[in-house]
Amino acid sequence: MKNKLYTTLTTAFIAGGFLLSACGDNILDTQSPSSMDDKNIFSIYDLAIGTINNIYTYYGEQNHRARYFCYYGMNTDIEWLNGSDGGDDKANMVNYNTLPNNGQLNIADAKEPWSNIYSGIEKANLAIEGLQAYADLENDEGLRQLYGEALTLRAIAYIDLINAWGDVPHVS
Amino acid sequence: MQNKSNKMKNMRAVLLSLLVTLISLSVSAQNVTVTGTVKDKTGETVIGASVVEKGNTGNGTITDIDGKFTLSVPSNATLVFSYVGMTTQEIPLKGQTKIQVVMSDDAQALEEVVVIGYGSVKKKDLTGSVATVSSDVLAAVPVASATEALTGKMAGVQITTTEGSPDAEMKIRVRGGGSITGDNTPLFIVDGFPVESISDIPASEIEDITVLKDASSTAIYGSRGANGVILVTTKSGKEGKVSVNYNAYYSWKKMAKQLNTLSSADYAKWQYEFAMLKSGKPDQINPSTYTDIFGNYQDIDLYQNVPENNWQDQVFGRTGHTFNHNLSISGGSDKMKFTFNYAHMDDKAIMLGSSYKRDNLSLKLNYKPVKRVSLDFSARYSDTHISGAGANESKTEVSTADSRMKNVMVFSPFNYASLSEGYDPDMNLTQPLTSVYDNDRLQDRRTFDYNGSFTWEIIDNLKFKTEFGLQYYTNDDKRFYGISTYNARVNGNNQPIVVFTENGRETFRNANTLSYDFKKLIKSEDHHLNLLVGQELIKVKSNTDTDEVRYYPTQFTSSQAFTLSSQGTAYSTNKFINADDVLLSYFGRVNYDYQSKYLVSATFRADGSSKFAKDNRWGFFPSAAVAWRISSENFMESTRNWLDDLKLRVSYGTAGNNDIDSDQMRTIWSAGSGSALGWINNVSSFWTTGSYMSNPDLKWETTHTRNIGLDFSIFGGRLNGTVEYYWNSTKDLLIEFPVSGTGYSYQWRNLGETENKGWEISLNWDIVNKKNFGLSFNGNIGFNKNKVVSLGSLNEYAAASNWASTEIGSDYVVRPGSPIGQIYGYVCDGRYEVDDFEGYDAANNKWILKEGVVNDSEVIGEKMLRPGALKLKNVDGSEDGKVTAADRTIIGDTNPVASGGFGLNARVYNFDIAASFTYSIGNDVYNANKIEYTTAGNNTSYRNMIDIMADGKRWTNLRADGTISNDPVELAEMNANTTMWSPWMNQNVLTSWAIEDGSFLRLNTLTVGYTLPKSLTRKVGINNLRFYATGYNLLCITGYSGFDPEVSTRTKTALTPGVDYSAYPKSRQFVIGVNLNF
Repeated sequence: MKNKLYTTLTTAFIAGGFLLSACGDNILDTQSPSSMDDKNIFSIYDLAIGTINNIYTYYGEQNHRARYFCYYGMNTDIEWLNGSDGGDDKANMVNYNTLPNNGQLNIADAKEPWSNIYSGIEKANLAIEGLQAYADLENDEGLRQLYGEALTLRAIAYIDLINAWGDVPHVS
Repeated sequence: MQNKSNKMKNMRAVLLSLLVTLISLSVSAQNVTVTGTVKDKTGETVIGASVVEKGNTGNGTITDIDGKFTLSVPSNATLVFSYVGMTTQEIPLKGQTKIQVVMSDDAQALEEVVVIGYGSVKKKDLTGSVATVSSDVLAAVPVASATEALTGKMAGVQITTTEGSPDAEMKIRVRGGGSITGDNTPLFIVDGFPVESISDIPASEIEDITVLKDASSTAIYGSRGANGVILVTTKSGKEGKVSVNYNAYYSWKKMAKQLNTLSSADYAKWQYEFAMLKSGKPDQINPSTYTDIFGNYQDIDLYQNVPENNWQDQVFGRTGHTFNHNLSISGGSDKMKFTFNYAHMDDKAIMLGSSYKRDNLSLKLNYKPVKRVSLDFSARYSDTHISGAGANESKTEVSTADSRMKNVMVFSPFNYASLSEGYDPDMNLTQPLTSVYDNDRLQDRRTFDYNGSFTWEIIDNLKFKTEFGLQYYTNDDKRFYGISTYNARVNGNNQPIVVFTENGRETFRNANTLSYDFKKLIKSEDHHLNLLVGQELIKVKSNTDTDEVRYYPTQFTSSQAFTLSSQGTAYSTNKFINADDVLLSYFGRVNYDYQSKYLVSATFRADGSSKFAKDNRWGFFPSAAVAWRISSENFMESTRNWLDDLKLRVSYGTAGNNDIDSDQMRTIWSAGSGSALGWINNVSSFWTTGSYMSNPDLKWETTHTRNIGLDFSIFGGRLNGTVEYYWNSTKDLLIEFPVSGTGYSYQWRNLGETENKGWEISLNWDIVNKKNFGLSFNGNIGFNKNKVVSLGSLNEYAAASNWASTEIGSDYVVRPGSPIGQIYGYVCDGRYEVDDFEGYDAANNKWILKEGVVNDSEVIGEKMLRPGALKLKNVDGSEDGKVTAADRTIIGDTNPVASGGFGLNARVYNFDIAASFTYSIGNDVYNANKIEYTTAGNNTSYRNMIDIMADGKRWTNLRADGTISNDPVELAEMNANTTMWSPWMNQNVLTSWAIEDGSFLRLNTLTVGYTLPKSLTRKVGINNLRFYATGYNLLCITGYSGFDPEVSTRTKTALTPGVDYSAYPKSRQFVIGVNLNF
């Protein structure tokens, strides 16, 4: 009696083990439940707006609009940064003399201006692509607005890049 | 090492006393009564040895407390004396009625059982590289955790206590570690169950710890075995009478070493010179930046007798106390065994507000309903409370500005009117006590473990085992940023901030194994073959909840802020559920030996991991090992009298590493976090694909190991040891590849190759073993040489420890051909002397360098370039003689040439003495503290310094009348006896001066114990009663100038080891304790 019980148990476990392999790799397909795929995120305005806000955050970085482009090439006929002749890090940006160790910029973690602006462009590209694929741009005014924002933000980022570096690679 | 002696002893004692009672009723009359004493070789009586009549095992007894026995047997009988751990003896009576027996020790070490993955083998049959530490070693010295007990005990296992806090990270590296950007922590397995850390397991609960070092032993753990495997076996119940153990200790501890800072007078003097230098007007005395605070220079002698605040005493100076006690009860019958453990530890550490409390409960049951079936169940609970944020938190810090140690070291030594009680913007420091209270943290960690297993010997020698395990882990972390912190000042509108973080993890494991020993089928004494096949599933669900509350009322303390969160403003909340981490595996192992002379073992494991995309998710890890017991060969006959065992082992195998985050193979959107959350008005969340580019082609990192080892045992096991050589190469490294400009910062890629080669030697020597005196030595040494063979398309990989925020930039670099952990900076060339200059240009207040003298003004600052300034080498030999960022080079290597430990154990009568040492040879330490404490940066004022820069040592420009000298002759005269440069610099500069040799020899513990005579204690039913005193860290011989050479505090990435920055100081500890067993 007892033996039968153990046999049954053992068989069940062994069978269970092989069943796991039989049902294949499915249990190995996992994804964070706190994440979203393109098709879920870009069809709903309230979700999609978060991807556009993401593009703005790259503008907020020191290496884009927070520091770099406030100072970059500012000394013109109508603008002047006080102390530009002092040779500090801000002045160096104003005077087209941004050195790799400029202390006003955050060079670590691949966040230097060039990479930072391209990161914003990448997020804009993802949003544009996602909205084109999954959003009802014909009928949904809100999503159309977001699409326009993404296109515009990407364009401004390219203008900033061209201002600083001239010809730059175009990624869309 | 399953030390079975206690278990057996108890079991025998019980069985035999039972037998004796039964038999005494039926003794026949023609017998003689034999009496006698059993002693061991040292003359000590053997208690509980069994004495049985040969051929009539029903007739027997055991020796009593004095080693005496009385037994009725036929006068021509033969008596068999046996005792676990000793050689069994047969003595024919031949009419004697009084006999003295001397039993000798077994060469038992070889028969000890060693736990390996999914099973165990006899030590003599090991083919792989395996090291163990048994419970005797763990029990001998009072330690807080299992990891601590391992320090210096095993060759090739380097354990670094990164700082002195009670919850300090213990960095464990088995044979160096192969990953570059990845974590090289070994895999921890507790009773078969994979865990993240073993620091929550009290040492008293542990039976033994085994470390698997080469791939032939780790390959059975497949994709997770590449960095070595640490197997912990907890204590099980033992058959026999209920045994109760109680251990307690109490300790006092004090900060082990202080660094001296400037005296008040010297501090004021330097502040004056610093203010004069900064003012740029060498002849106008009393600059306002000085006089506003310290008065006129003419009155500087008022500071002669101002007492200094010793901030080190105030913050770290208290006497810490630790109380630790544990109780274990175990026992059982042949059907049912149990053990129950309770442990409690209460540690009030040396730092203000820092404490550590831990409670552990565990219960382990084993039930054998019938002979062939065994059911095991265990439950463990651990609860840890940690108060205080320590001195730094490099992994999670908002900014190094909040590191506590610099406040302690360089805050003003005395009060002045405008000195802030909180954050002082001039110094850019916070009052040390305020900074401790304003950086508060409470952590609550709970772990529940449940494990059950069912073993059934289906037919003879065929065993099936199924195991189920479940672990719940929660970590509740509250971090308070008071108004003086950088975070509150920059992000919190000068109001307190609290970040509540809760981590939850649920791990499920099921393993089924089938093993068969072919001894019945082979029917030969010479051949032994056994086989193991198995399948395992491990599933980990985890989540992280992060809630940030800002803008608390400014007067709120940490405890108010933790409990009254409604008084702040909920700033962000993110309940993030991670992707499940699933591992599905199949594995097998074959062991074969011929006469225990030629041994072969082979393992294979196939692992499928959810971290990789479909085509790459299965990894296969084969390994093989052979061993040759040379001592069993016929030609070794002549050596038998002194050589007990000589075995040569050779192995080759592969093991993997999948230690990356989940969800790296596809682009997904998840909630953004970090400071960017606050940048857009009225937006409290956004979606992002993050800064890591996805890579669908990711696969395992694979380590190939080759190992050759020689085990020997001579003079009856009195001297035994192991010598090993290994060569590990790790391929397809999982690297965080920098992909700047692509729209992402990094992408995980498989590329490059590293290797670790090394020697390991371990030795045990029983020098003297006499009745009342014994002396033994054990020691180990490991030499490891790490090398990066290739970085794929990269020429180098730079990393920044960021201790000085962005001031220093990349200070570590990984290059092919060199090891990981190379420090990168400027080469110090002393200071500029007067001779280096043409002269002084008074009109511009500038010193003119001579032609051909290097100019490092770009690094130290243009205004600072004058006699006495720090001089750097022009490494790249640039013709303009300028020192630039290009002149940085490799200035240090944090890898030790050798590391290990040794110990001496002695006993004299009932006293026992044990000393254990750890050491490290040839590693460099990056003394970042020293840079910060000797630099007067241009952006800070009024900071103190350490006495390396004391008056008389540092370069001085100050004349007695309070003006700055620019006269070359006078300057040279004033500094004839000074050796250091002037502290005035633009910012912190990393030079070779801050790289120090971190070699050390530490007397880790010294224990003296006294065991009460057993003849005395047994009368009151106590088996063993020992009192002891232990000193920790009594002595550390090192040339290192900082607090302690064993340090590594910038641990956010594995690339920046060995930085000494703002480490919680280590303490010297004195312990008294008691061990009680009844």
